[in-house]
Amino acid sequence: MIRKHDQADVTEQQRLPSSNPAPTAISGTILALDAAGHACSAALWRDGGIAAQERRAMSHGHAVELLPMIERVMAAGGIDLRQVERIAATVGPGGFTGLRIGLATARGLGLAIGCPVIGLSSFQVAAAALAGRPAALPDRFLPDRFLVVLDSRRAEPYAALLGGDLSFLRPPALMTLEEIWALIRDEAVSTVIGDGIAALQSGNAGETSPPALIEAATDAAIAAALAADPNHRFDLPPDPVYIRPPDISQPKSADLKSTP
Amino acid sequence: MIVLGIESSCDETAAAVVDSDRRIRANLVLSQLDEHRPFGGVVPEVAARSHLDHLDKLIEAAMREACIGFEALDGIVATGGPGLIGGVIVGAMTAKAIAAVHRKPFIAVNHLEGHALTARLTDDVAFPYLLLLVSGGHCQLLVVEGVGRYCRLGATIDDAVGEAFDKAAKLLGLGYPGGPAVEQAAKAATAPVLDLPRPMKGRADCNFSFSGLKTALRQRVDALRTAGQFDANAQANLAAGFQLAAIDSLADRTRQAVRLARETTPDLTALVVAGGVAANTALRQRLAEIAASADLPLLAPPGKLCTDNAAMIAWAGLERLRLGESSPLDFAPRPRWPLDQTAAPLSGAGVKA
Repeated sequence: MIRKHDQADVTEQQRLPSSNPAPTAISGTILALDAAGHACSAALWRDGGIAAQERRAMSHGHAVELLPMIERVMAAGGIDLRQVERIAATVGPGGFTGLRIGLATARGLGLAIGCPVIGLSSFQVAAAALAGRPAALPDRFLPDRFLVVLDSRRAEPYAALLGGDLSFLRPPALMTLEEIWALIRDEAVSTVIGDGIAALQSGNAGETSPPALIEAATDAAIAAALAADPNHRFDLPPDPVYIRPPDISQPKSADLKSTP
Repeated sequence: MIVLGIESSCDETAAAVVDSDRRIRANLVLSQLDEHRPFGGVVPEVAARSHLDHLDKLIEAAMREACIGFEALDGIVATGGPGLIGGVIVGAMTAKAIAAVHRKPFIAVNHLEGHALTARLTDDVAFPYLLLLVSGGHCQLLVVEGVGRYCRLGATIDDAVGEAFDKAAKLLGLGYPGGPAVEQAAKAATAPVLDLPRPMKGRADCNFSFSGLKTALRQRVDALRTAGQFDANAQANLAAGFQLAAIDSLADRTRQAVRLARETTPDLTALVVAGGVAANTALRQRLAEIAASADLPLLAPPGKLCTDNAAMIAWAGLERLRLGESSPLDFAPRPRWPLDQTAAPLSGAGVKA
């Protein structure tokens, strides 16, 4: 045993400030995480811009990568985790395990730091990622209305219709490809973005005016920028957005036969 | 030394604070029973979602109850496996995050080690001792030689005994979870069914098997239902018969393990039982007889430390920590993680060995 203490020691320990006093928070500092898609990323926002960021493409292994990545980003940004004022994480939709990794980490950080934790929609982060690369669209950053399609790792992607200000024009849903094409026609959608567009590429041929399909993925640096919005327009509770319910097979009726 | 423990490997979300003087400062368990009951068993995705929904608030409550701040902890411990991986990940990531903020050691412990070392938290038992670990996910006999040193004498080759109780309860229409339901129903038996099989009884090894017993029970239930004779009386007598057969089998395997363990480890200090099934009163009585005849004390931790809890995880982490061990922040949660890594996998047992 390295050290033993009795009750008195413990009480004293509770009252005295820690030998390593917590540094004070730096105003406007945000640590953002994204593990809900096909990448793992962390970014530190400070003084109105990205101070440090890291991103690695991966479909699995976020649980291994995320904490060391956060530590490297904090070291590169030159501040202590305890100085972070807000934690942000993408809430999905995306890989169930990945979005839980991001949110469990974010909530754990918020609890340990004692700072607020916010969630950000993966739809809005992916869309904003596109705005951050205006070269992809020649005329303007984002069209007035566009469809964001995210990979669900199943045949049916997640889809949401967004406006040019990133607001939701239609609530997100799990949609069949037929439903997505019907929506594109009905709403005269000219642009579809996201990491789920591959599913639409093959079905494009029969369309009279096919929409532009543009690859865009979530990223922590973009999430940090949205989290820094002075009007908090993109803040969500740090709760997962699964959209798809758990796969559950109901037990056979015989198994539920009640007491005779 | 004082640590926070987090458990989330099955259907209990739990957080606890434990110190090296074996004091449990807080021990909170949030059961997901009601969420899984409609499905007659634990649904992994439902469990994972529920762990994330509740864990941070539960940790906060445990810290408040223990009257301690994160900065005063000596380590953050979480179950790192084995178990339902979605839940394990939630607990491990939360623990890593807290450890990173306060620059404290993170300790990922084996859930089974938590059960295995509980008797050292409750009774300060010295190594080496014989452990019967019986739960819904695990069924094995081990010699616990030291922290991290386990010699497996036997394990189930198919179902865990707690799983067998769940399945029996389902067949008998007794609901979920099956352990308490079967035990309760058995009390009303007027003529327990005595001719159900005693799987593996008399075998030279210390392995378990419960699928044959379950099949035998199903055949009895089906025959009685067909004949229109499956009434409350038959239900109670079959429940009692099943419990008796399962306990006979566990007792025979344990008696054999005491014999084998004594050959290699003459200085055994105790027979210890852990895991959720250790809450079964009839099993405890039978094990007490075996221990007495072997001149060993029987140590059975109180019920709430036998079923899944975070105090045992905190304690196992504390045992590791005071040996100078901790885990890196890139620790990968492990769905399968045998306690005795040298033991050969048993066919059919899956993660249960």
